[in-house]
Amino acid sequence: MWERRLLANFDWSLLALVIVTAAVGVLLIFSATHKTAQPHLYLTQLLWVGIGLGFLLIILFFDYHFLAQISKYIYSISLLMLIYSLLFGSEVSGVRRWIRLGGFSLQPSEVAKIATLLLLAYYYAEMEKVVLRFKDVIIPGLIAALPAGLVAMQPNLGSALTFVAIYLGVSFVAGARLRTLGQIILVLLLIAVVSWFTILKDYQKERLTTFLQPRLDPADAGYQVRQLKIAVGSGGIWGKGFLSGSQSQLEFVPAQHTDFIFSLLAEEEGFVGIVLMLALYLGILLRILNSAKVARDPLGVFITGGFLSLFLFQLSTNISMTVGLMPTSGLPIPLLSYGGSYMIATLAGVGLVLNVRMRRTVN
Amino acid sequence: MRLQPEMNHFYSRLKVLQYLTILLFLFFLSAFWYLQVIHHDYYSQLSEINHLRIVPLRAPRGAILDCRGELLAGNRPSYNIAIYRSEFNSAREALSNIRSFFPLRPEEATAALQNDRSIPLNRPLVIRGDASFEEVTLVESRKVVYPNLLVEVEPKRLYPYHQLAAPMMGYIGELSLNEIKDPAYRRFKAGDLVGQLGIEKTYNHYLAGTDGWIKQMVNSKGSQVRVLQRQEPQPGKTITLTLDSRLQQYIESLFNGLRGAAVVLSPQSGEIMAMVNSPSFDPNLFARRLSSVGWSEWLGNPFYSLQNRCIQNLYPPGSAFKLLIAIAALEEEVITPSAKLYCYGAIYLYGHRFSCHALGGHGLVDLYKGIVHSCNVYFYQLGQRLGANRIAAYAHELGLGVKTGIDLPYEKEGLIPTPQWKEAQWGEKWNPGETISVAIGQGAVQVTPLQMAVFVSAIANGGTIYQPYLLEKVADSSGRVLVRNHPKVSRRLSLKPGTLEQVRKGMWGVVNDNGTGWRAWVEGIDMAGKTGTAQLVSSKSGVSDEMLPPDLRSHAWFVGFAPFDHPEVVVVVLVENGGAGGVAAAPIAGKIFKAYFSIKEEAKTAGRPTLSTASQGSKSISSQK
Repeated sequence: MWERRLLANFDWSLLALVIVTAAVGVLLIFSATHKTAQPHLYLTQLLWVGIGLGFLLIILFFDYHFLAQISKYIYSISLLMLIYSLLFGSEVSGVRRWIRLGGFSLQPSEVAKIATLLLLAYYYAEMEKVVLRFKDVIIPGLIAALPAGLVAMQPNLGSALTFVAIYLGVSFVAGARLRTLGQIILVLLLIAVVSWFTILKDYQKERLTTFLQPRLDPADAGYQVRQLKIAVGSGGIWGKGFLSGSQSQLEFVPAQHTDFIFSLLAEEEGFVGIVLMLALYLGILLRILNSAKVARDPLGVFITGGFLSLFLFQLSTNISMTVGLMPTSGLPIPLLSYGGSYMIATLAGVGLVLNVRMRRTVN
Repeated sequence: MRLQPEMNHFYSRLKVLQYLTILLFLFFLSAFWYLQVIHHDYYSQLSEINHLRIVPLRAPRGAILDCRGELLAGNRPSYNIAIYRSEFNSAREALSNIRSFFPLRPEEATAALQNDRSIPLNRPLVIRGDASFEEVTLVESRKVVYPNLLVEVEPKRLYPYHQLAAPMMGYIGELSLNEIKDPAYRRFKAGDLVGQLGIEKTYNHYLAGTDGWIKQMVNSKGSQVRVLQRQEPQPGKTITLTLDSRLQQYIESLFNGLRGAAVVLSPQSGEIMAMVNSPSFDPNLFARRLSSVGWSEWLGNPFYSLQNRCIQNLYPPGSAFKLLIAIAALEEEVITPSAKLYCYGAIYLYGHRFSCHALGGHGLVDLYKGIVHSCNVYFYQLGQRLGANRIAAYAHELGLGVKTGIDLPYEKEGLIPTPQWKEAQWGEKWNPGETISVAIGQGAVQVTPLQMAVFVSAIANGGTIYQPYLLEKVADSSGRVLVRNHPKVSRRLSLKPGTLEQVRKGMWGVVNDNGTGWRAWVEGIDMAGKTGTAQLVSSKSGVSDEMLPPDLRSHAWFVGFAPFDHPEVVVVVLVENGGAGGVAAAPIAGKIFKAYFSIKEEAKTAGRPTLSTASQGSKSISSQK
């Protein structure tokens, strides 16, 4: 399974970019939390990065074809975990998204993301079609819809949308016709309209409406958007300096070590920091794209392409939120935000991309 | 590399993803550029308003003391409830946020919203002035829930004697719109309390302290993270007045139920020992912030007046003006002291009958008798000989019809009419008969009680016009004297020797020689004076004062000084519509003289240092003369 020449195609630069980004994340988490009740969260994040890199390494040892083959089991297990967490999971501020394992909490939705990505890629690769029609994307749609629905019931609307992004991304790369994509989007809109009147909770509606009318209620969702923009805008070109962002340090921006860590970067490191950070992210994305382009077979393309969509979706939604162009939706930013499951899932995804590239010339 | 045919297709899809990625990144860059570079200043300011708060530390206003250190105006601690608005979109929203917890009266809300525009966002907006102890406790106890509310300590002006000397002391109020534009008030900002009248206004620059502040960093919950900067308030300076509150208080009690004014000053320096105005007002009512109660209470009450009658109201001096005519006549040599004129009880001049108050006439009248009995006919003739222009020139020289320069705002000038004045004012020719009216202080002659006091002082001290003053010294809060005021001589008149002596002699007779002012006589005090009865309607109608409606009755004057040999106190009393000066004003003046000397005597025997040094001071000045 492991051959020396695998190392010849190893994408060291992607790994380096990812590690540097994660390291910046640890620093930002230190800045965000060093004066709070949890001043050691950056160390925990460091641990998550370590564990994530461990997973990444383990994934490298298995051929991605094998991983794709067993993906239906991982997928099934992740669904069971989602159901379990819905029924017995620990509740944090009204949301059941955690399973407690020993001293750690596991977010099954993160496992489900990677599993769904693998399973969708596997399904399309097995289909061996170049052009996908609407009937071809129905079963993958259901594959994505199952975990998405379970996550939405937690309720966690933002994460549920992530499955939609994976589904759209993999389907797009796998060759869904534009017309098919249009049909998918129509179906999604229909679901959205129906759920607005049936299952959406009031707070979720409020977030969406206050985003459209931010002055409606400053004490809540609109307040967050306003404070985020103030944090970003007041950073200026050079930033207020590490550990000196008043908006973040004085908690005007909530959840500044998880969802809004990018605003902390914008405030403390300024536009210059943002440009450097975006350059890192762009580097990562372009390396992933490059791996997709040189992949040996469709499965490799779908896995990397799917992960690219996932990564890009998470990045874009978080940044749009940070600059006040989207409602605050509880979506973290890859590699920077604090969170064990999230970091491990992201690094596992990177492991899959490295895996595909390593094995481009094998056999 | 083995490329499968369909890989080409995937490749084009990946290209699309690549363009999408780059487009997204360009979009992100421009979004950050927009917020962080183009709108940086705007958000920077918002961020500061968010986390920087100014807690005002109000400086106590300087105290005002009387000549013996008695507190006339001080401070008491008071509490304001104020709100920080930075977390809200508007002041209206901030107020509605606390509505259920701390309801405001409608007029408070209106006032707060009005002030909202002029007070910077990082400073608190006062929503209730002078809050009760219960309100303060309530706000303090719920600080965690309502961190935007602040209990602010503000030393509030307190006038322990209420109406005592109030029109002279003045009151304080919020900086007016005109004052905001005035460079003299540059160091004050909207909402600051400044002197609006009297001593409070004149010496506002000494009395007003400089507010301090705490610049604090607060977190999103509004609780203080740390203090960034602290500027201690600079308390205002303490002012000591020449006023004697005991004398003032006694005189005010004499004016109980009367409208009028009284001035007591030293003829040897111009320092004012009492300045009485009746009615008066309670300046404590104005010390409140956000309150129109003071105004409405005052507006509807006839026993309230902000008017400092001693300097702001103009009255015809009546017969008291004869002293000036006597001086002018002697100086201009239109008469000699011993020359006698005959009084038949009336005289015909320019075809008009001008009457004297003694129906049968005074007979042969010389200067002494003219002054003592206040003979109109005698002074009509002196006036005729002098002419209006010469009378006006002497009046101005002696301090009548000109501002005295006292250290109080809004002093009026008064008027000594001349043909030129009439021509300019009314476009009419001077009627020679008017000069005759002027000669007895009637007609258009208008003076303030303080001008009369300055004028009588000059008679008493031998011809020196002092600028009257109230400020004795200014000290800082530790008691160190910063400014000590000294008497200021406006001018020294070079009169003929004997002129003032003759006039003084006449004034002595007014009180002591069966003259019009005999009711002022007090045993043991060698005083001199002159009465005045300023008629408001022509005496030709032949009705006596008692028959007139109260507001048309004559104003009663008495002016005088004592002791006769070494004058150290001048008293001017004016009772509005009081009738004859000798009846209504002279007894009051007598009591004032008596009180002055008994207070002085008491201080001497009690060995109170403050007054004894004060009297020594005035003695040393008089000995220099």
